Amino acid sequence: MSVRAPVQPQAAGSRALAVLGPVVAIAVALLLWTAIKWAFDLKDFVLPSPAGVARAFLDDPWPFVRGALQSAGSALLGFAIATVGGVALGSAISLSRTVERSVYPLTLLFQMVPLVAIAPLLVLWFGYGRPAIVASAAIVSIFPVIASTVAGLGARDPNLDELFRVLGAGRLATWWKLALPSAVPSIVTGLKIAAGLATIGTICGEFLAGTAGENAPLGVMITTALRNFQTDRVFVSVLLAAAVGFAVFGTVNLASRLLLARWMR
Amino acid sequence: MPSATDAPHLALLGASRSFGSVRAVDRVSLAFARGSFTALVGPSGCGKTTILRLLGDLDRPDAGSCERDTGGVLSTGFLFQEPRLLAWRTLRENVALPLELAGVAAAERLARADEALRLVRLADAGTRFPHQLSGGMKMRASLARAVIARPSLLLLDEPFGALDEVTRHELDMELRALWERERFTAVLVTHSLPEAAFLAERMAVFSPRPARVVADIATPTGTRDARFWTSDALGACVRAGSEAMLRAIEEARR
Repeated sequence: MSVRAPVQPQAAGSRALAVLGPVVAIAVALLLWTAIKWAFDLKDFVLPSPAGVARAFLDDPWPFVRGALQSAGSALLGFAIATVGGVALGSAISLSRTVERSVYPLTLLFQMVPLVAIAPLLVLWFGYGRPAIVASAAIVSIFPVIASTVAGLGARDPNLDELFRVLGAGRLATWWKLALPSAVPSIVTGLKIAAGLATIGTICGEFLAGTAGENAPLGVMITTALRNFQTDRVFVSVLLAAAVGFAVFGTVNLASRLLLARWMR
Repeated sequence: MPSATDAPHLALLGASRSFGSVRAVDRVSLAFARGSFTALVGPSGCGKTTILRLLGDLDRPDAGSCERDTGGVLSTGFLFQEPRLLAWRTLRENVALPLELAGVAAAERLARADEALRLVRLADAGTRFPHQLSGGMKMRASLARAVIARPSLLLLDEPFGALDEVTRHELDMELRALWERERFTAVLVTHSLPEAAFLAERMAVFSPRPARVVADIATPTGTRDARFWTSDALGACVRAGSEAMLRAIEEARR
């Protein structure tokens, strides 16, 4: 699979549109935003103007940049833990019928328990600061990894299974050399979902367990700014949180494309 | 490689196998001499593949037995209907798989994979991936993988059935040449009488299900070349085989 489809001459027009489209959409959104503020005569602390938001960022960008880096670090770390833990748990589940029957239903808890309900417990166990935030990111994002690993490991070609059997391969060798490589496309799909969730888990974790100060992460910057009615700063932080989400997703997407180069052809 | 002797090292003794109420194989007795090449021919769905699976220890008979004196796991090579290559591995990594699973060190197994690829005329394709190859090339690689561990028994389950006629003839000739050189015991399942007569020394013709041997035909000895495809000797074997098969089909209808 090539990373990008070859550009056809007649596709040049549609490529220009692909760039122009979002630019126009953003411009329209900004106009609409300004129009609403003006039409309803909204105060700055209810809805700041786009220019006000830009000013809030440009006046003193470094705390925002540091906060975004903090959040991105937590999200990536949580995502990494979810990836390793999810693939390991998913493999254990599909390797052993006993583990499947006993543990798989329990993993649904990761999916079902609302994060806001357990986040206070995370603070209790890990204290305020990064460990609780990373744990929150990992817990929210681990289930799609487990589920996609189990699905991918179960969906391999039975013909290849038979090949490994006639070659006398053991269970572990079959897992490592056949089942896991076969499952990679499915696992990658799960990782893309997990990447978005890890960012959500990070910001939520920061709301409850983040600490203010020099290196306050985005979640803390949002709550602090809200308390001080600095709505423009809230907007900056929210936009940066979205950027962090895009960055994490983009990193995973790029890594998976490189990984999948051997699979999807 | 063991020298060819008449001592059977593989035999079915009155073997039967049923799946639910369907009897696929009915009291079949067949012995295979060491170094021989036997083709099992019969109508589709007659139970030939079941017999091959019994011979390869992939399945057990309900009654009777299968005697195997072929050594360990690696002494049996399989060639399936599909190439069954791993899409994420290069050809040489694919071909080396049996040795890899047996714990042979990387340098040695890859060197032997290159050698096996040379045997099937794929020496230049070792670093390519399966999706970059034609159906015939994939099947060749699969053959290289089946013989890399120098098995004493090679089981072939209609391996070239999905290929076009020209490629198929080409691969048949290569397989026959490989067998003439290496002299492993070979058992081939096919529904093509000409292919059976070309490849094997002996054709066991089966009735419709449940599989029963209705003719055991010896094919001409000696090496084969392309001219053999159109020879009278091959024609006579095909005629004898199809007469036996048609008789059996008529009997089954009655």
